[in-house]
Amino acid sequence: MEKGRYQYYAIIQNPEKSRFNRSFVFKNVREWTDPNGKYQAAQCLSVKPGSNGIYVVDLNDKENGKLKAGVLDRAVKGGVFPIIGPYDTIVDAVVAENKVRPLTVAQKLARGEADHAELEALRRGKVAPKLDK
Amino acid sequence: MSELTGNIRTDQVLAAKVPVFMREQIDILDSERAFFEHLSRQFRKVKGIENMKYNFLEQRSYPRFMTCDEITAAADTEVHVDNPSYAHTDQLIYNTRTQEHYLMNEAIGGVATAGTITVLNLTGTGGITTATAVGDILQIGPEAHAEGEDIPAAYSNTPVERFTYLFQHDKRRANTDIMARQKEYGPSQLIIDRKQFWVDEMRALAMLLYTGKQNREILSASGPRRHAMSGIMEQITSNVVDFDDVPGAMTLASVGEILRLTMNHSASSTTKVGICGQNAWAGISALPAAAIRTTVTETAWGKKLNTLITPFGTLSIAYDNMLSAENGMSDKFFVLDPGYIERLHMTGLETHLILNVQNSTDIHNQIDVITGTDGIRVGLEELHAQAENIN
Repeated sequence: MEKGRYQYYAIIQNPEKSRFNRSFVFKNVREWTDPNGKYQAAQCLSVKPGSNGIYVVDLNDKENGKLKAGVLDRAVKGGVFPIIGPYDTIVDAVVAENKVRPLTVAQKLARGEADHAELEALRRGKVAPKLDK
Repeated sequence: MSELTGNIRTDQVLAAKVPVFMREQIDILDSERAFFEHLSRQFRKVKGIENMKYNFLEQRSYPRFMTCDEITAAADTEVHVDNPSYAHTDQLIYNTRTQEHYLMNEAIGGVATAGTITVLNLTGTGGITTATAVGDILQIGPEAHAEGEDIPAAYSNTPVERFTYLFQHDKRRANTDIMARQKEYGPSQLIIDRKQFWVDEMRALAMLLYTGKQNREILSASGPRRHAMSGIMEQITSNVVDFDDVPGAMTLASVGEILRLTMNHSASSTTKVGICGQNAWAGISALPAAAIRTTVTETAWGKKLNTLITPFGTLSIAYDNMLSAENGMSDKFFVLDPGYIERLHMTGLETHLILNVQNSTDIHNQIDVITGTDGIRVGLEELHAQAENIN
């Protein structure tokens, strides 16, 4: 893969909230006539996440690449939306999202039960506590 | 008695002798119920249900496309896509950018290698001819059947189960018996208060119909519950367009872009309803006059709506003055499908005003109550859209 061609932004999907699927408009221009007298149609362009919850920016796209990256960078920095990035590969984006994704109630319960079982085993002396060396 | 000398001026007339000259009519700043509370009840008959939780089912078609999320080199047979399990054996996969067909070469995508579909060149041997790029759309076509071969394995998708909560809301207003009978200028303050009491609650409800976030809170272990209803902003999730304060505001192109998202399905109504916040309305008002028309149909809903004709469909459009900067909602714009917006209440608990609910021995006080249940269902949320951060 061409290094640095694509940037990936991941959506942190909260399983207890409705799916986040926001498109960001990066270009919105009225119709106009350029200095050569050529009619230019109105444009409203947005960057959308894929069905896997990843925004992809192709930086080789000279016309729109930087605009797309800019709008997504602002969304990340704004801190309001559950978007992280940019990442150089889709694998990095997915791994980063998995690390910070909120747990479901069932996952929290499972983790709590595992912790409880471990503590209970420690209390009964069945497992030697791990010592820092 | 006071003694006066010289000409008597107006300020020297005994104050008790001069009546206050008051205008008979009182001006009321917000005397009408809110726009969206009214409009959302006009699309369909308000539905009475018998539970605070309203469950409903929605069937969607089987997905017909995948998106490439990594580059796959020419001659490779493992094509990286976002949802490989959508594709099945021997289906013709069409890359719309490279205009190349692939032949699916595994029973269900993603099984041989996670995150990819195993394909063959359409010739039946070898890998793909042209490398894919990230973002390439792959259409999933029908199965290409070999002569005498068994029919392919079955697959299908299930409906989606969705729900929305109703919530109960109460409000009290009270006055004394003396207040009710006191002589006043103009109409009785009691009458004005009662009307404003209702209007204020409807305006609060109207805003909640936009912003509500549903919740079922358990107040105690013994079971009493508090519900919060869901508004349209929470329920519309597929088509959310963020203008990120990009200059240009609402153009016909931007309205068309939002509308197009909602018109892609056969269930869509031919005319959608657009509700503008302050900024979107300013943009619409700047459109050429020829783009906006007024028709009779939309006035049937009791509010005057203008018609906007875009390349992607017709939009009946209006301004809700509650979507203003003062309310922090000036950047909003909603496109709703009137066929799938449904206001809900619990049967027998419609929102209503009850007068004089006080105890019969409490003769000196007069208490009115507004009580009722409300909710809103946004069906097939792909048919609706919302835009935010319109500058």
